[in-house]
Amino acid sequence: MRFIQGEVLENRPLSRDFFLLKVGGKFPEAVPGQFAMLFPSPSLEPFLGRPFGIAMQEEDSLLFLIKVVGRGTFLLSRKKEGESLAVIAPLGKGFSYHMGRTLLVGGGSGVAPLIFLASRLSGYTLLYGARTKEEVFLEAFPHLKGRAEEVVVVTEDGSAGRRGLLTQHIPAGDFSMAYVSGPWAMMREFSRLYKGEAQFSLETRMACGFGVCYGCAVRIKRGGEEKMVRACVEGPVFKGEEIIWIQG
Amino acid sequence: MDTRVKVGGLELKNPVILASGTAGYGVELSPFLDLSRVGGLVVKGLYPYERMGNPPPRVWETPCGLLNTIGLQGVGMKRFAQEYLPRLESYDTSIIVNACGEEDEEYLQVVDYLQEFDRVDAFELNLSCPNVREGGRCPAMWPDWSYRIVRGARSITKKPIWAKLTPNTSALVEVASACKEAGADAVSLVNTYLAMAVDFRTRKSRLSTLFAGLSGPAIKPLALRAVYTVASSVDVDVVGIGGITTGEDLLEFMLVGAKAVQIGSATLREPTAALRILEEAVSLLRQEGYNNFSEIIGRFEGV
Repeated sequence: MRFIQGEVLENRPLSRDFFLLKVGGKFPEAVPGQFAMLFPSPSLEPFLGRPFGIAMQEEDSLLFLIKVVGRGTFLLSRKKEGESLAVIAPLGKGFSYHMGRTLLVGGGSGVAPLIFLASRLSGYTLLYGARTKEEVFLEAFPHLKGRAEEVVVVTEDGSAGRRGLLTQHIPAGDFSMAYVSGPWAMMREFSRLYKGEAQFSLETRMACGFGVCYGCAVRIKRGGEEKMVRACVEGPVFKGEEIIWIQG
Repeated sequence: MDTRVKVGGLELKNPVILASGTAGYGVELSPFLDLSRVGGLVVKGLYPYERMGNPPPRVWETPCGLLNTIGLQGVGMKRFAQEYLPRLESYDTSIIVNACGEEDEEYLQVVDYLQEFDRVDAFELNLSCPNVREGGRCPAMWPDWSYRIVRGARSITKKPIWAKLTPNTSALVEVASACKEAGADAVSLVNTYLAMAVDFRTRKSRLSTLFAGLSGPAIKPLALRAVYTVASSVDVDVVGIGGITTGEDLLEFMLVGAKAVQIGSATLREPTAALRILEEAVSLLRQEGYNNFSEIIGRFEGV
């Protein structure tokens, strides 16, 4: 991991709420599932960085698929080409690869780390959930479909693919591993319905992103006991059987 | 420039110390920053035992700062000594152990156990820990309670003792004075301000607890006043803490009487903040014709 003053190489809107941000810098090699902290402002406001799963790594750049959900992501959406942008990357523990037929499950902006993962796998089944067809980005990332054996698109309004929630359309099949990334509620429901082995990329509120503040800790089961671990260091990817879905 | 400062029984190579709770046990920051370049490191708060801390959500961003309710999750004194202290051995910086307790006795257990280790240079008693028997109130809210704990620690160790104070008391000056009287070598202030965040839609707290601690530049003016008040009325070394993000911030705290400062939340948004702040302060001093930090400590001239 490295703290870098990067440079915005590209900022392209993909839909009303989503945009693609490409940031240049000498980043160490990342593993799919790892994330970066992006700092929306060089001033003190907003104060903290924002964590985003790495959507692709190219030579000397990282790609992010970001949804505008608040002030920080709004400011990032306004970054111009050539502007400098502070980044800490790569962070956390990514997915571990499995041989055989795999299932990639991504909902909303959670699909980002799976885009990166898909570039390292092939013959997978992709289950892609979004609100509406404008938020299905198969064309922006042609390899998603190109390397897949099957793609199942689910939109809440039925404007593309099947209608409903992603978790209502889990493909049957003998998968050696499911890689899941999306909103907490979606992943929790998926884990309830899906009985095979799975890895989940957890979305938690974070402050530092690199392990010093313990703000992102989640309760997990490991080695027969419950413990609090930092999603930013020990995660964000966890094995399905480790995750305690109701944290409170 | 000679950046050395003497504070609370230690001589530091410079007045910039990494605050407890935002630097982990030091090793987590070492990929970003050479720990040998900071004046000191206060490690994350240690109890005699390992602690889980509070459930999530634990953090909430606020204007120019953040609220946290980590709940002092930590590895405990023994694992710290076994797993982390040896990894800090090679760094040329002062290591200050932040000692915690749910009960008074626990602070003393931490001091007693860790004072045996040569690499521990000093203790900072975190008198802002919620106390179990007292319904979550903390020692640093009262002078007599603070006195008892500092006195107890003083009778156990010859190493320097700092007392970290909460601003959430009407008796800050009295508490600082009691710590001094009990044998503290310095007081460090301020810890976070108790505050809250509410979600209108769910009608619940944004965090897993009702109250949480506010830190960051949002509290800097409050912290500056607290440091000024204590430094100008109690004859004790003060380590200034609260929202420092620039070299100029640091010099302001020293002007009102701090002999050193701690960098907390700034590290969360910029892992190398402490070193930048130090460089900025040194170059500001130089620009203004000063030769060292001592020349500005307590030289505030008021209105």
